[in-house]
Formats: sequence, structure tokens, C-alpha cells
Amino acid sequence: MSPEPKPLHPISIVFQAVAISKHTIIPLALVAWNGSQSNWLGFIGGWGFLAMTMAVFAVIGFVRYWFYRYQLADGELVVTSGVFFKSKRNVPVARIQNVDLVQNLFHRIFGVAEVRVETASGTEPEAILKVLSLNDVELLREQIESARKGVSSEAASQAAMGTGAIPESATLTNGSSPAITAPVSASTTLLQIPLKWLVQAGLASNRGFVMVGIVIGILSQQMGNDNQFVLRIVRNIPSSREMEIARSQANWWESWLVWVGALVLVLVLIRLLGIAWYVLRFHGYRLELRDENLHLSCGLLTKVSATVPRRRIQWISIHRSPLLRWMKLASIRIETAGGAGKQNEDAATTVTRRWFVPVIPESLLDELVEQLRPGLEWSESSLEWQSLDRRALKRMRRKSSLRAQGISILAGGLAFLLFDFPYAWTLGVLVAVVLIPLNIWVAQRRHRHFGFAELPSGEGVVIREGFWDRKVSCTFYDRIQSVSCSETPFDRRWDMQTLRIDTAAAGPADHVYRLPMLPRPIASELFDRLSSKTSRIEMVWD
Amino acid sequence: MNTEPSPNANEETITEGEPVVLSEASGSTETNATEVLSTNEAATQAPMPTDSTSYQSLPIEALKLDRFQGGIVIAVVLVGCLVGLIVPMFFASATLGVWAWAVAGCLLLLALVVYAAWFYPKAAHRCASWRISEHGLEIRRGVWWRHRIVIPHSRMQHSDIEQGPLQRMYSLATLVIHTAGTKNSSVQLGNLKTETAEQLRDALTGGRWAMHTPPESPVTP
Repeated sequence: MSPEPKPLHPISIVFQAVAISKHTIIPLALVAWNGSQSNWLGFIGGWGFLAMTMAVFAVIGFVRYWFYRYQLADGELVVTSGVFFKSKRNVPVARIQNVDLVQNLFHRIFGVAEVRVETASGTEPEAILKVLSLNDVELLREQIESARKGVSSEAASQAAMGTGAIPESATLTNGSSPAITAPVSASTTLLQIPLKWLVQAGLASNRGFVMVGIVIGILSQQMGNDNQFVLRIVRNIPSSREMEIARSQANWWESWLVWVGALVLVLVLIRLLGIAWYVLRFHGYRLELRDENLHLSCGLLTKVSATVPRRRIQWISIHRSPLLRWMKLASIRIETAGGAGKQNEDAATTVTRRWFVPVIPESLLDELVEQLRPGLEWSESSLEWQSLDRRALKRMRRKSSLRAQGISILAGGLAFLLFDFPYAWTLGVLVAVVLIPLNIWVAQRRHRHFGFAELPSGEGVVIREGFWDRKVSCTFYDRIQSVSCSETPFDRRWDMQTLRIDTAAAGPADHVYRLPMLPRPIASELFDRLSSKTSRIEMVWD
Repeated sequence: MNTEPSPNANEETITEGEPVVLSEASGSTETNATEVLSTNEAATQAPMPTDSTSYQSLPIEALKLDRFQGGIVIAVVLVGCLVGLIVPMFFASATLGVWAWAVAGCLLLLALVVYAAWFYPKAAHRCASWRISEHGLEIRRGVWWRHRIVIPHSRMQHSDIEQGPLQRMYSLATLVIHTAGTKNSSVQLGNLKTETAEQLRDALTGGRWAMHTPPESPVTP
């Protein structure tokens, strides 16, 4: 890259303006539209006002574009921005972990992309370059990649002394010399997901429910804004309702048929939406291993191309919902350092963490998981699973039975007190008769499927949990941040303890290492073993 | 219990420094050879991990501070109760029954507050302790809900020393240790002596391995 600062792609003015006006454009347009309804003066005034605002936004976008510069110099990515409040951000290339790419439909039309530069720390990307042309992106990526390799090979020799820290004096000249030290990058494709798997995953997922919720939310919001629309609907509803009542009196089963049909339609719709979500998000999914980094790219409209360094993976979690199990499929989630505690996950985060591998057949699973960490040997069946003992089973049974009893008493009591239901206590007993055996059965299944183990190579621990949605997760001793052991008064009664370990960025995988109801001696022995293994291994952040 | 060995067997295996539960795992012995070696050395030179005598409890000033704060609460509640008892006397409707209930309620409240503010701190003080072991900093606390946590040395990111006005009166300080974790991303060790807290901070973040490991014992990278 040229040493002088570079601007973004000019089209970013438009994207900036659109981004600013995203929240204000609809109310403004409504105001303008309302104004234009009254007379020609209002028409001109309304639309003129709208045009003025858009012009102001465009000017803001232009100003931002004009003062935004980035450059790669002296081993640092320097981003300057701001008009009155100048900000200059220096990101050492050695610290850059990811250069992620997000391209939505409009980006793709104009041949540009949004670039996120992430470091290991912090919840937000260190720098977001909106938007660069694809050529510039490629250039930037290459530069960063080669610069990083140069730095890391330099740093590796010094880090081997045991400091673990990146030397501050890692200066490098751009472009030329690091290319020699960098090994030739050989990329192997680990996984490509064909459309068929995506459709199956969509069928199995409940993603559609979420989508329906979102759609309803948006609709209700839009209706709230537009009074006329609601009024029209309200005006239409009574007439149709009268008609339906008249018809349903004639033959009641017909209306039942309508309801059942509607229900089936909604269910089918939900499944279709799930499929649509999977296909839109993960079409053309491709996972590659290039040197030590996992590259993944996917998406039909919004294209995401992200890099996950293998050494940043903290937690590997395999999820199997019942339908997925039935279709002999699974999904893999990972947790990586950095980007933790994010409130709103953007597309890149969603894909790289929560849906790292959205769907994979069981037959390919072991092979892929082994690629996620060098030297990892993964086969769930050959692990020496330890389960909780008989007393834990007894306690789980009792706990679930007590819970069921509580619920049934509550149900009976509520029915009696609030609704004055004549057979309230019969209802309570009925609920108990159904719930207690069910809960005990669930507790037994839970106990049977719960397990924990150590990896045969002795570098990490594995936990298996859940009987409906089954989750198997593993983490490594050099990723464990702290080990804790706790004991509630109930635990004390049973002479048991709960063991937990804490890892960085826990959350997206939706699973934690928590061993409840361990007998006290085993818990403290495990505690000591985990803490000694953990403290023996230095954590390396890069 | 299906695969776990009995507790006695565990203690033996710990002293030998073997990987305990998965000792049947075939391939692990070669890879762990160096680890086992260092464990042996550490086990002979460092105190036993299960040995609870080396735990240090908090200074007696910590208990004093807690009781001082508790005393304030007790005084406030006492005044509140007295006001609550005296005020109804000026109203005609305060019969003997109402009076008795009010007294009973106040006594119950006082008993609860006195337990929470005077006797509970004693128990909490007895249960709270810490030590620096070969593994890292270990903290134990909790009376009803007992908690024990270990933070390995290499996982400490940075540490703070905090001191409130009351703590300053008793020359106490709180050491806060930050890790890169999620749930336990900051662990507090409250009401240490100020100089102890500073020593501890220096030992934990500065000379990492100086305080607990002899220099000749190898540290596996």
C-alpha cells in the first residue's frame, strides 16, 4: 500500500447518507406525503423539505468521507477521521486478528465491501472501514497478512523465551522483506455445504418462529405509524367477521377445517421461513484452512467472508437438536476471544461464532473438529465418559418431582382462588399425575446423558449435556481462565459440590462447563487437577 | 460412582503426580512425561494442594470493620423500632393487642438484624481465606453458599487495589483481580491489610513465579 493516507471508496458517501437517514427517512417521508395531500404549496413544501434533508445528509456523508483516511505504515494500521474532533487510531498489525468482510446486496452491486479489523481485546471491531472497493480490500488483506507473518515469525523467536508478550519494537518495512519469511500459504477446503443440507437444517430448526416474531413486530410498528392503513383494516374486519359467523352457523365443522388449515399453513410457513433463513445466510458456505487460519465465506445476498485464527478458539460446542439427530446432522459453534458481550450481533459475528458450521453430517463431524485445533483428536464415542453417581440421580429425581408437585399445587390453588373453578383440586391432582412421572423420566434421561471427560491427549476437558437438545463441548487447559467450586446449603446436605470453569468470551455457544452434584471428594480432587493442569500451561494471546 | 476411584486412592495418586481419573488412557503417559516430572518436583517442594493449613484468613480488622458497619445498621434499626413503638402510643386505637404485635415484630426484626450484622460477619470471617499455592491465587468464602475459586498466575490480566473511606480508617484494602474470563472476569479479595494487598499485587502481577515456585523447577510452556 502507498505510504500516504488513502480515502475510502467514493460510493461510501451514498452509504453513509443512507445509514444516517435510515431511522429518520420514514417519518420524514410520511410528513412530506401528508403535506403534499393538502394543496400545491404543501406539496412543494413537503417534498422540498424532504429533499433538503436528504441533501444535508449527503453533505454529512461527503464530509465524513473527505476526512476519513487510512494507511498502513510502520507496522501499524492508522485510521484518521473526524472534522472538529479529530481521532486517530493506531492498530499494530501484530495485534490484528481478523479482517472480516461483509457485503450486502447493495455493496455487491457496486463492487465494494465493509471491512472490519478486529483485535483480540474489546467488544467492538477496532476499525470498521465502510466501504472499500474489492481491489483495495484485497490489497489491505494481503498487506496485513504478510506484515503479520513477518512480525509473528520475528516475535516467535522472542516469545519462545517465555515472555509471551509481543515486542513493541516490531518494526517492519512494508511489503518486500516479510514476503520472503512468510511460508507459501497452502489452503485446504475443509467443508462445503450443499443446498440440500441447508434445506434439511432449515426444516429442523425453529428459526422460523423467530422470523415470524420479527415480522409481526415490524408489521405492528408500521401499522402504528400509518393510521389510515389500520383504519382500513378495522373497517374491513367487521364485515368479514359477520360473514364468517353466518357461515359457521350453517355448518360448524367447516370453520374448524378453516382453523386447522390455517394452523397447518402457519406451521409450513414457519418451516419455509427457517429454510429461507438458512439458505439466505449460508448459501455457498465454504470453510478453508489456510496456514493457521480458518477462512469461511457464505451468504446469498449479504456475503460474509471471515477469518478465524485457530489459536483464538476458546470453546468448541457441538449441538444436536432432535430433528437434526434424526437426520444424522449436527452443528458446531465456537467461541473466540474478543467480541464478547456484544449486545447486537452483526452478520459477521453471527456467522463466525454462533453458526460457525451451521450444519454438518455426523460422518464428517469428527474429521472437521480435529481441524479446529492442531493436534486435537476427537471422537466422542471413544472418550472415557464419567457420569454422575447414583446419589446424584436420586437427588435429580427428587428435585424434579418436588418441582412437579409445586407446579401442580400452584395450578390447583390458582384455579381455586382466582377462577373459582369447581374441580380445582381434581385439576391439581391431574396435573401432578401427568407431570411427576414426566419430570422424573426427564431427570433420569438427563442423568444418563450427562457426562464429562478429559481429552485422550490430556490437553482439555469435554462435557456432554442435555437429552432433548444435546450439546457436547470441549475446551482446553490453556483456555481456562479460572476454576471454581461452590456449595449451596442443599449441596451440603447431600455432601456434594458444583464445579465450574470460566473461559473467555463464553456466551455465543450457549453452553458452559458446569458439573453439578459431584460428591465432595471427587469435586475437590477434580478442582485440584484442573487448576494444576491449567496453571502449568501458559496462556498465549498473540 | 462408576469409574471414579475412591477418595483414598485419589490422595495417593495426587502425591505421585499422575493424571488421576484417566490413568487408564493409554496414549497420555508419553505426552505427559514432562508434566509428570514437574509435578513430582512441585509436589516435593511446594505444599500439598489439599493441605488447608496454609490458608491465610483475613485480618481481625476486617471483622472489626464489618461489625462497625453492622453496628451502624443495628443502631438505625433500633431507633426505627423505638420510633415505631412510641408513635402508636399517641393514638387511641393502639390497643394492647396491636402493641403486643408491634413489639413482637420489632423483636423479630432486631433479632434478624443482630444476626446479620453481628454474628454473621464472624462466621463470614471464619470462612473467608486465601492463599498463594503452586496453582495460583485461591480464595475461599461464603457461609451458606460456599465458594472456592482458583486463578492461575498466568491468567491474571491486571489488578486493582480499592480502598473505601471506612476501609481506610482500619487501613484495609480490597484487591480486585481481572481475568479474561466471562463470569468471573473480576474476582475480589476484600478487606486485606493494605500492605498485604500491595505485596500480593506485586507478587501476582510483577514477579510472577517468584513467590511460589522455586526457580529451578521447570515451567512447561
